Amino acid sequence: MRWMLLGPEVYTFLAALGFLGISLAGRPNSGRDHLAALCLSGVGVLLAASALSEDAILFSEVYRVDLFSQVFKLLLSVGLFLIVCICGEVREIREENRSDFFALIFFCTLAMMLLVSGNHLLTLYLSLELSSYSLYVLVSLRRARDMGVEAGIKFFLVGIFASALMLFGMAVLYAMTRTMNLNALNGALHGMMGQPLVLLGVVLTLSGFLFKLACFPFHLWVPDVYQGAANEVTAYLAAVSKLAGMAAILRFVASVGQGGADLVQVLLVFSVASMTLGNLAAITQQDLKRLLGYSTVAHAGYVLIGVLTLSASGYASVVFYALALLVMKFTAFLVVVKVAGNGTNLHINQLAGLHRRSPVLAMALMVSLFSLAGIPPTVGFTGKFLIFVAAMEKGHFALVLIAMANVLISLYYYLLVIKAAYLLEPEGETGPIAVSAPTKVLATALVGAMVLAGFYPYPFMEIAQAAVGVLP
Amino acid sequence: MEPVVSAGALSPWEPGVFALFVYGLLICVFVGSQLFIAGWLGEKKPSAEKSRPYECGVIPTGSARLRYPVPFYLVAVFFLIFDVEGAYILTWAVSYEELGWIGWAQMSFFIAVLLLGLAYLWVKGGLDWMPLPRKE
Amino acid sequence: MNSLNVYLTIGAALFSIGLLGVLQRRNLIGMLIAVELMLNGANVNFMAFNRFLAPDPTVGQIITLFVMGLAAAEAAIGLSIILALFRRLHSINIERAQQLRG
Repeated sequence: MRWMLLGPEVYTFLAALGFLGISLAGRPNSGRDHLAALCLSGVGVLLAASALSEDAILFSEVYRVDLFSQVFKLLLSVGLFLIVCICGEVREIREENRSDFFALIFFCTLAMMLLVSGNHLLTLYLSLELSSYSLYVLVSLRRARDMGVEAGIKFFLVGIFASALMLFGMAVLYAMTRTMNLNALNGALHGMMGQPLVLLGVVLTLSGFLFKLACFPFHLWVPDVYQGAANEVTAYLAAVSKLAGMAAILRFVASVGQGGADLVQVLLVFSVASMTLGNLAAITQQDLKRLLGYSTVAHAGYVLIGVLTLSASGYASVVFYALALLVMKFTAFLVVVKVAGNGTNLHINQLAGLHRRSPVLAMALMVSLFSLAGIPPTVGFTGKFLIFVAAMEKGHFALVLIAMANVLISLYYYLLVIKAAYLLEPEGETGPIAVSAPTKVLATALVGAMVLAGFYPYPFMEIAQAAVGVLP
Repeated sequence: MEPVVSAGALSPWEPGVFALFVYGLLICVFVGSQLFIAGWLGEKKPSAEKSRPYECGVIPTGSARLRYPVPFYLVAVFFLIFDVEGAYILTWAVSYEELGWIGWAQMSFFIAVLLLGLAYLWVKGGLDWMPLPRKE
Repeated sequence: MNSLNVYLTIGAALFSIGLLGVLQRRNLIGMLIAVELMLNGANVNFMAFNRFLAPDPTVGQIITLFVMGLAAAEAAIGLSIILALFRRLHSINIERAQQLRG
């Protein structure tokens, strides 16, 4: 019996139960909760790192622990730790709900850990639903209930609609192959991808993953939920929950997609629509969180380019991009959370004069936005470059051209935000923003990580390549 | 499970089903004719008094579309969850012998989680029968 | 009567009614019910496929069982959010919820 096999999952589960217990015991004390969450998630990162080399197939082949899943579990724990770092005072969530908030965040991370390890369509479906349920509640918890509940109900409706479609697609796949295990599906679908029913099943099943990824046909919730949820919850949605979606879609497509020329066409349409819609809609946004929401939709499009290459280099580029997105999105939201000190939404004009009010945050914002846009010495550029190279290898020239055009469009609205932070003068008197020393260190470290990983991405690329090596 | 073969099991010409079929047909004809005759021969003089909903002679007041108090909805929601979880326990009970002690341990864990859920909603006041206090 | 096609027709009909309901209804409870119909349509399919195509490992039945539990949890979360929304808007019409816009 190797205890570390399920170490990260069991640990996260126990931590979540602990917060549930604190919530049951009453006596809300958000300082204590935050400290406990910080310690627990910190140890969780170490645990996930030490479980990196585990490898097994468990529970009659429905659950797979391999390098791919362990890398994503490590990324998820790092993401959780980073998010907990900025949850010191979640002003938009009531004091008495604070420990529930932490419990839900841990449960959601647990569900995503199960999701990246799922080797059976039922496991994937169950863990996808569990993580979505936690998120529905997290989004609705916002103190400004009008916004929170409205965002929650929109999120919920799109989510259950996508999950119903996914279930129907799974039924079709089950009928065609008589199995739900991903390994068995991989063998059974060989040479069957041309059949329309199989394609229908695969595309409908993808809908659940596309919802998680905020990609084109299921992107409608993104801007409203990003705007309506509390800032910290939005950060979690943007930075962490996307990771699990990427991992799940990678594993699923790698298992069922081999030789699916039609599937590639479908994904291509989704990808182009997602990029173009996201970027064009982002231009006119004034709420920074809404703008970042549309940029998430666009990024889902870039991710799909890597997925639809159906090649090892494409998959590796997606894993690398997952790491890049985690750091870039988190840094951007770190700035949002800190600048909007009282937890309200952040208008772009409110960034005016940020470089004088807090030089560190302004620099973090600039580097993260440049990275999101894909300006050279940052990790975002390297990630996009790898994805585009993988797509060129497979001969998707037109797709790469469209993506390049989209990168240009996105540069425009990112520059608008940076202009607001650096060139606009604030109206009225605004004092400097009080930024604590740990936050400064965190922001600097993140900026350093983005630039360093952009200059010297080889170790991460090697990990990504090794991780996708275990995919079929 | 054996594959299904009895294709004509519900055919009306099957000996065992035929009598039931004829009986059902007769009932339909009988009831139909009763209703038709009553509607055809009966005298209709609608008045405001007659078309009012009958409530044991008491004159109805107010709208029928009352808004139920929130606790009813809460109880419905809780019932929904705990009731459906019963399906898992029943499934376990059916194959109790085969699953043995491992199955017992798993089901005990499942029930423990359910109890935790019950404790949570109890402590949080979900079972209190009164309007929720408004805190803003 | 007793063939796969009958069950598939029922499943497809449930699914389509649900799909139409989600897309066309504006009442939140109605939309929730419509999605439940879609889930149950898929469930009927799973049971039928399990019975007629792949009877040995009863994967289809197990999935149906899990989806029943999930659907209950989903309905519970949905009803609670709808209840919270109703307290704010005094309506369960989705078109009244349009405060968030860019």
